[in-house]
Amino acid sequence: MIPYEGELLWPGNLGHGAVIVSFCAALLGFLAYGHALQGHKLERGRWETWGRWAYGLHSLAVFTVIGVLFGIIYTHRYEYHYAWSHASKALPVRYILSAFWEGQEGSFLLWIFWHVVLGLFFLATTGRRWEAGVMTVLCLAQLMLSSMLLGTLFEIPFLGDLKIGSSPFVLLRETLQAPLFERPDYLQWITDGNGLNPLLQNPWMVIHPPVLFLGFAACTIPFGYAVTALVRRLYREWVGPALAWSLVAVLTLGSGIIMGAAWAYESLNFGGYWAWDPVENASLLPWLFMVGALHGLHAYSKSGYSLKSTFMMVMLGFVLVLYATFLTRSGILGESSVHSFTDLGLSGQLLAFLLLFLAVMVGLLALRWKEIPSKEKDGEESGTSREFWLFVGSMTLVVSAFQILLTTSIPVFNAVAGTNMAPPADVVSYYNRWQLPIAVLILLMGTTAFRLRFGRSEPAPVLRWIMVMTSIAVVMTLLVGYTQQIGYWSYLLLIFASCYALVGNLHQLYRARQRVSTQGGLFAHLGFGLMMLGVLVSSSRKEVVSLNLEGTPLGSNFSPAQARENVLIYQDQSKTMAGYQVTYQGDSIAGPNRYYKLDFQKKDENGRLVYQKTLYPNAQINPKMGLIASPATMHFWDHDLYMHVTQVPDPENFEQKSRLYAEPVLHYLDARGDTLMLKESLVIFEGLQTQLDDQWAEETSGAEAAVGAPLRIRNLQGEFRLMPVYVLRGGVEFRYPDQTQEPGMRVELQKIDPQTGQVALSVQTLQPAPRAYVVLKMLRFPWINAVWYGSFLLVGGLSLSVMHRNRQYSRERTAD
Amino acid sequence: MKRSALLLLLLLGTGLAILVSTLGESSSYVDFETAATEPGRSFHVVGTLNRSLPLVYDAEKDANLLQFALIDQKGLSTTVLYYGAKPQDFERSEQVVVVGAMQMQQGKPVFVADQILTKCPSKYTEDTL
Repeated sequence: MIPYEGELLWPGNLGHGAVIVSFCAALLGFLAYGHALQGHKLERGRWETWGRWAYGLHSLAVFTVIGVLFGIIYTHRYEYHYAWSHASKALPVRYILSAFWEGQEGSFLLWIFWHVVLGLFFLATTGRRWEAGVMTVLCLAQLMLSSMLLGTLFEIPFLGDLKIGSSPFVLLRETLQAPLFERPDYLQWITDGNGLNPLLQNPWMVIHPPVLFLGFAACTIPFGYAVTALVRRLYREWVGPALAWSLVAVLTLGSGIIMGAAWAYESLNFGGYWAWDPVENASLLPWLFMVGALHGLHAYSKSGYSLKSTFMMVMLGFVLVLYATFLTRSGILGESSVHSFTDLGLSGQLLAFLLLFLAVMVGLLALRWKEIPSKEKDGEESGTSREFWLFVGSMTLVVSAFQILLTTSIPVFNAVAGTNMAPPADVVSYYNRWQLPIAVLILLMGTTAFRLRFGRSEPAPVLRWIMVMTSIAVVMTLLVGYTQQIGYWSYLLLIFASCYALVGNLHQLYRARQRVSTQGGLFAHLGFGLMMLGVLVSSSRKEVVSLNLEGTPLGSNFSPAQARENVLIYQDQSKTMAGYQVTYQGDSIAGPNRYYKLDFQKKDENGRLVYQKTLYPNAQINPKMGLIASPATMHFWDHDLYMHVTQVPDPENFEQKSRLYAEPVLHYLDARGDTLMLKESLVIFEGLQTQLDDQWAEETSGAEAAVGAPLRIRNLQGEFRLMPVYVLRGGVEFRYPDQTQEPGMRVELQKIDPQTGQVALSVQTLQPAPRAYVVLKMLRFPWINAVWYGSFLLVGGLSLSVMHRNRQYSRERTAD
Repeated sequence: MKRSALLLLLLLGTGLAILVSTLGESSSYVDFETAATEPGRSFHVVGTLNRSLPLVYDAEKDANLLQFALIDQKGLSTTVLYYGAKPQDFERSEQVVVVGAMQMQQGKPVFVADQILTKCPSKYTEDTL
């Protein structure tokens, strides 16, 4: 044992102990609540009291774990691996939070934290009828999640060691092997941590993960209601609260996804807000299912229709949260995603987590399948009823999710079947091809369904309404298509569907103007329509405006898809892009970032300046990750101009590179006098000079011949004189070259040929100083604001619905 | 009941179509030799940078031309051309996935990449002191 100095070990021990307590308390809570759920009515109360105590203890332990880990990071205790690998002293305080959840362990803690908060909120506000079931599920989820943080080695006979979880409190010296750790005072040599990935040093990364994980956590509660409903046969009663909680899940998860898109657009450089990356898809999948579940629950609550599929969607929503967790954290995505977590050896546990809840779902549904009421009283569902179209709509969402699921799961398929499949080469257009018609269907059905009644509607007025809305939408489509020059019929179809959603939902809102606060659904659908319109126009008319027409020709066998999309601008020079004169005015450094100053000017026909703006796209030239560029964007009401640097001269090489002479070039001149035109200067040779002045006395003494070549060099900087000298002494040639710093020229008198009367001058010019430049990529996104405003409306509408349901649900409860 | 049966059929049909299309459209991870058997068809090739051959990218000459050699998983090194800026952190990438097709240029086979994905497993989680 080495007596290590300066280590603060008690926080780690406290934290690790608290993890174990939280795990055990979750187990206790699960057992107690499980008994309460299943056991005899008379025993329930006692078991629930036990469960509540266990959950309280669990919550306390979780808060301790979080507090300790945060403290370790905040006070830069680098003896702990987590603090060392995710933080550094230069990290601004606001990003300590990002550092907290950058690692897997921290992000599990975030999820655990939201479960605790939601669980406590649930206990405080919700009646006891649901407590046992929901809390059993919540405790089971917490049990699985806190096991991810245990970091304990179990020795199992015959199977060897089994490592459960990965503790955030392991010490640096326990994780890494280095000779340094043989010194008792190793800690004073570790002066700084590894630092936070610069991509995550962004305000969006402070806010986006908590919202997303709140969404994940919120999906657990509806699952809990479904379990309770199935176990206790409360097929009717669960719908109200499950609907309210599903709305919360859809709202928070949706906001998290939109924030992720905004983060990608504002500060990543992949040129857009959505790339169908597996990690993005992984959070979209549960969202689609929860939206489907929402519509199923709504339909069932009004009509008693489609309960079985609703159960499945609610439960699959949470199972897909677990699948998403498995995908992004097990390392299985491998090559197909750029931003998944690295494998911590938790894949087995993650898989167990997923399979456990899948088994709960399948088992319970199989057990109760026959009893779940399904409405068949009419034998035929009326095609003019709202519930029918709600059902069809949610099935369409399932189809959409299935397509995303299948393509995203290709790496999983490879791992299981040992195949070597890769995602389609142009994966974005592959997804779009499938998802575009689905979006069209959803927009059309979602809008029309609001015009229908539950039960049965009179077809004639509905048809009339559809006709009117369609005609308005067709006119709008033609307008949009014409002004934005969109010719593809499939794109026009989506524009039509979006316009139909816009006018249809606006009209419905107008009709319901007396009770706007209950119309969250209409606002959300309106927002979705606006968003899809923005998505279609901004992505189909996205344009690279930094097209480079220079450079080596591509040859005939290249498609325009491989167009050159990057433009180089030297400092103090300008290029014209998208009608702007863009001038690169140099760079500056602030913190870890280098800002590239770009001046944008637009002039009218008379040369008058009509627009001027300076933009600063920045980049970190990070010793660990190379160039990390962040875009800068010019926002206009109808489009954005978005740009980022793709290449800059390496600042280090740039500063150190000393100027070099180019290869010498021989020039033959008339020995009596001549002139020589060079690229940037004029050389006047005044004729060989045989009488050299005294300064050459030493070199010329005893020489057979000594001549000089007086030169006058004129260039932009002025006139300079040079005098290279040639000496022949004892049969040996000596050449004394002459040089100037400022036009940067070195001349040697190489040879004198008496026969031709010529002299040979060897001229070397100094290579021009390296010039600063940036290589830029610039994109134009038309109508991008429609995406953001649509998202606001969608989120706003969902919030309105959450409030409305909450009011309604608390009325129901008081009526109970 | 008729309508819901129809709906179910439609749902299953679409699901099947998605399955078939995913299988049909998926590309595959191959080596250069396989990619060369079908010039012009798009493939994913996984490999590592061949550091014994020069990596050509000179922004001042042409900001949209990157040429390098990639060793595929069978050990075969092939020239890759990419008409774009050099990806960030390209030189230190441990693994490179190029998506594109083989083409003949001046009698030599080159792989023309439409996309380059770099994988740096050590990215910021580098565990070295």
